[in-house]
Amino acid sequence: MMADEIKQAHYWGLVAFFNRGKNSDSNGTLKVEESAIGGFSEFADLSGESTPNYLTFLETETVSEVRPDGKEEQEDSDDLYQANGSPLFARVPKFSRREQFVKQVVRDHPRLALAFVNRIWAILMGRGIVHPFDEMDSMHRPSHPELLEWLAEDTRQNHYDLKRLVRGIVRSQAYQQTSVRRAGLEDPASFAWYLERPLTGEQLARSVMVALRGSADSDVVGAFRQQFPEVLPETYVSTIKDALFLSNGSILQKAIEESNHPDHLIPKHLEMESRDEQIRSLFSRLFCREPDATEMEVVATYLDARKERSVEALQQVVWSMITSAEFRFNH
Amino acid sequence: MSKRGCGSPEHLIHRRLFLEGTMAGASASAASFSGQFSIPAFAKTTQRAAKKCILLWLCGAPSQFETWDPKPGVETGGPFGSIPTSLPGVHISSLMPQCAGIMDKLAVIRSMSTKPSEHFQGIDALTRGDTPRPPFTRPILGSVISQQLGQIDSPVPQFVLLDPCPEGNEFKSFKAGNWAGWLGAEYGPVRAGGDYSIPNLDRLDSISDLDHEDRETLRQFLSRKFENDQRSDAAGALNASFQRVRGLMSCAPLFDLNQLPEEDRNRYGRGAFSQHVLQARHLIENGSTFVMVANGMPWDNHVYQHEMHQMLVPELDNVLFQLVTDLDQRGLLEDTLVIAMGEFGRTPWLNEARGRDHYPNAWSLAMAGGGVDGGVVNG
Amino acid sequence: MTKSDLKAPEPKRVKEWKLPSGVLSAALSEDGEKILCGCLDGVYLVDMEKSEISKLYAHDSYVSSVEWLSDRTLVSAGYDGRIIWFDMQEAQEIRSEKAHQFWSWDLAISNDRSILASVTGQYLAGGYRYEPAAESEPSIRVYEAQEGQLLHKLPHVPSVQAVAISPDGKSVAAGNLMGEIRIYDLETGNIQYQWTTKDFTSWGIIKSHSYLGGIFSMRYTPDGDSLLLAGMGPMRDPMAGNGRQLWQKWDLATDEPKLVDQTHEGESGEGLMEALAVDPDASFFVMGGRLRGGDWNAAFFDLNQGHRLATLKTGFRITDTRFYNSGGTLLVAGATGQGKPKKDKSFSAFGRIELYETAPQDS
Repeated sequence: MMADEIKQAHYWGLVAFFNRGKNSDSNGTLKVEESAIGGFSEFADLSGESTPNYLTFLETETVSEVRPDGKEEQEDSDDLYQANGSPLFARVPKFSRREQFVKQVVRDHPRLALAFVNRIWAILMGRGIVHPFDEMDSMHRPSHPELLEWLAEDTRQNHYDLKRLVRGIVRSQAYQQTSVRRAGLEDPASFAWYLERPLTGEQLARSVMVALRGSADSDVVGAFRQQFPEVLPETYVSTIKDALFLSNGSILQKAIEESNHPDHLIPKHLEMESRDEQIRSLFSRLFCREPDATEMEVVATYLDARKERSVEALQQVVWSMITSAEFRFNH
Repeated sequence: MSKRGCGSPEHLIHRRLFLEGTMAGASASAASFSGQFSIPAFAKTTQRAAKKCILLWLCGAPSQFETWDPKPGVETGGPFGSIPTSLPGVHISSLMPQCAGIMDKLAVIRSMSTKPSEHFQGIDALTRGDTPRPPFTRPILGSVISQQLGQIDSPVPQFVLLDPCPEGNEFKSFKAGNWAGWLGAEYGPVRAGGDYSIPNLDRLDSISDLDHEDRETLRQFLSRKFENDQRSDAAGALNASFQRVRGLMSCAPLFDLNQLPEEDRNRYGRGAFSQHVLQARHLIENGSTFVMVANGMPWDNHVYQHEMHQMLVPELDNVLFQLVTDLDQRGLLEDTLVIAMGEFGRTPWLNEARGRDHYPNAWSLAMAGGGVDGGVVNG
Repeated sequence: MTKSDLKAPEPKRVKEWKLPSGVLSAALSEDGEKILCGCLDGVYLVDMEKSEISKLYAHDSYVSSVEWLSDRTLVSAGYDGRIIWFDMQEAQEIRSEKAHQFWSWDLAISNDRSILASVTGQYLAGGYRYEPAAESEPSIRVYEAQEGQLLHKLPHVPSVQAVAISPDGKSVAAGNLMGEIRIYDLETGNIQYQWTTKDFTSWGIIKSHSYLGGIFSMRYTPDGDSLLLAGMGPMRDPMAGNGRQLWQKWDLATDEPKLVDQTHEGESGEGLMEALAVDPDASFFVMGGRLRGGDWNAAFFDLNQGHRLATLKTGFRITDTRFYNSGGTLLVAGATGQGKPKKDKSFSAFGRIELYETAPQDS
């Protein structure tokens, strides 16, 4: 949101919707308790003028609420809360600011359907119709405004039916494009090819472990998630630190070395008698395809040069494959 | 399309030599660089005469009044006075006595006037040279310079961002973006400094240096094939970062602040920014082409303007003086452009919170070296 | 704790003036007719009877403090590091002393107007984390108030931003950026107390890695047994200026200074507090500063129990506040934002002086 689109009143309004809540763990259950009183304050602009923090959310009417005048002390009492509460849940004020906020957003807020549709599109297609998908403002215009509008209207009319939206997108020609970018195509916003995207840290960790051990259970997920924290990046950025993590980090190296059970990928392939079979099987397991002749030759050369230390050699070939772009990206 | 044309017979042969260990033995291995400070020949090759640049990125936007363009005695002038400089008739803020003594080496522009008045857009425009032009992403200054003037064969990273503070609000978001733009990820910066220390720079004991290099060659071969077949920019970015691993490993000592001479560290000042400006000098001396030094976004003083500038400006004054003087004494100033600037200036009028707000209409920056005439004040 | 037994003050604004430039310090004359104002651009006199505002003289920078020495002489300190003694009747400077190389952040005068103390210090990077460098000049200077002889040069760690002299005139207390307080014996120049409160200082996490904040005002209680401090609480982003409006009360009657009270939970908004005034009858005190979030920028507190008794919202940042007439009158000084220049390039007057009557209405 650009500074001239979001006002100070919006910031403080948003704060006010939530400033009566506090975390509590009474009776051993974590919950958010909302008070029925308090949370009235004012904010000052840079010239010193102050304004009350009315319940105001972007592009909606201010929610009206009785404000006590300066001297009046509000008394908290049970009358201010809904009666039919359960001891498992925090009591809910009759006038709940949090509930008011939800109403402001979900009751036909002019941006709701647009944001909803754009985000689902971004998850499925690799970028939003407005991109970045969470910066829908005057600076970032939709690449396909009619499409965005049409999808939003359809979704609105169908009560935000997520399945319908997903079905619609994945059955489209746009979604089913090949990931091979044809010559002459430059602009990813044209959605003229399937945009390859990196596996998230967690996906990558689990994929590596499935490949090495046939099981997605993995104690390396945490480390990978920390190294690759992005789940839906605006643009894919590859850093040298990521490359160093995979090249010199002990996490991946240890995972490879310790995948040494007879059922695991590397021991199994060590037992194969023919080089040819060994390499074909590796490509099938890790890339889901056949190697071409050059690939066969290069990998065979690598392994043959290290015959006396075949375990290390095979570990190194596996490393090369799982750190290559073909493994790293969803394509 | 791809600039990284691979798969030609000639390349294939080289690769195969690599895989058999023949090339690897002949090429410089990581180990031979680790003691680089004692190998004069290495220093010589990396110091081939070429234009270089150090950008002191004063993120958040400093006040022109408390630096290069004081207005003492006017209602908006602020509490600091002005002092004469080595240029007759030219005064700068009293917070900058050291730079005042080398004004004949500096070029100061007091008439900067730009459009964006918000940080992200300001940083974007000033470091990329213009406002965005979707769908293309302009490369940042350091990427352009290192691509045009850098030494492709050098293991020393050509574009380095030193920023000890990983935070910085809008600057933090900016840092997470695509810096190299349409030039491709291999021209992006190596980010280091302070909290951005570079982990995993050392090879694990479980693999020999030779295997480490050959394994990477095999990885590049497999991964490049995918990149070329798919015409994938993302794969290109991934491969580019792997391609830099070996070079960076070979110059790990350049990124170790503790290896810098203690006398220099004291002279530059012990603050994180100063220490990294010294490191920038060191990187430039050892073959980097563009080093950008920042420290989060400390200059955005909407509150406590004078209380913060009384600390930040003297630090800037000292490091700029030390850096320009050092480069000059080492004969490097002629070919090294030093720039000190932020993304805009500050309002003349003070706000209620002892602060100055954003002001792109008229602001100041300073340069030295790189063929730019010193002793010039513009505007 | 129970509600205060005190009858809450009901401050009513009775007078207000606008000054051309921001006011950093103000003092009412003994006869209650004149107000001295230390402004960004000089020392001004507000003559309430004649309803006139006149500029007396200027420092080379902001004027940070003004005090009456008698009904015709005054003393001021400024960001030029000078202390200037001035005779109003003769309209001329009596003496000008370059006390510091850096700003005089604050100046305090003893109750009998015989001793004054000024504090200075430039915050310069002393270490990797921007720990303040050691002082390059004595941070505290103490003078004989009327004649201007230097009595003491006392060390501290820059920047020393607040100073107070004990009611008996025997001690001087000074607080800095890092929340360190030093109290010196004015007879011997020996240090009496030295301690640190971390609650006023921010280490920048979001935008910058450096220190910011500290103690901005300090006052002794009338019995001299306690010291009040003001500033704001730590922030993740110091540039946001949204720290808690904070005071602390430290008990000095024991061997080790002890924190006995501070802004009560739920009684503060956000903003830098830079002014403290204590009612001479020792029943309440006032803290003032900026309203950044919340609904007040000055509030009365029960001096003994700490409860907030009444609040003010002045619409400008308060830089100084003082009690007169046994606590019946409150003087408030400050500044709004300067604002953009008008069409003729001049600026609106942005200094503010207000007088309040504080007495509760008899019920």
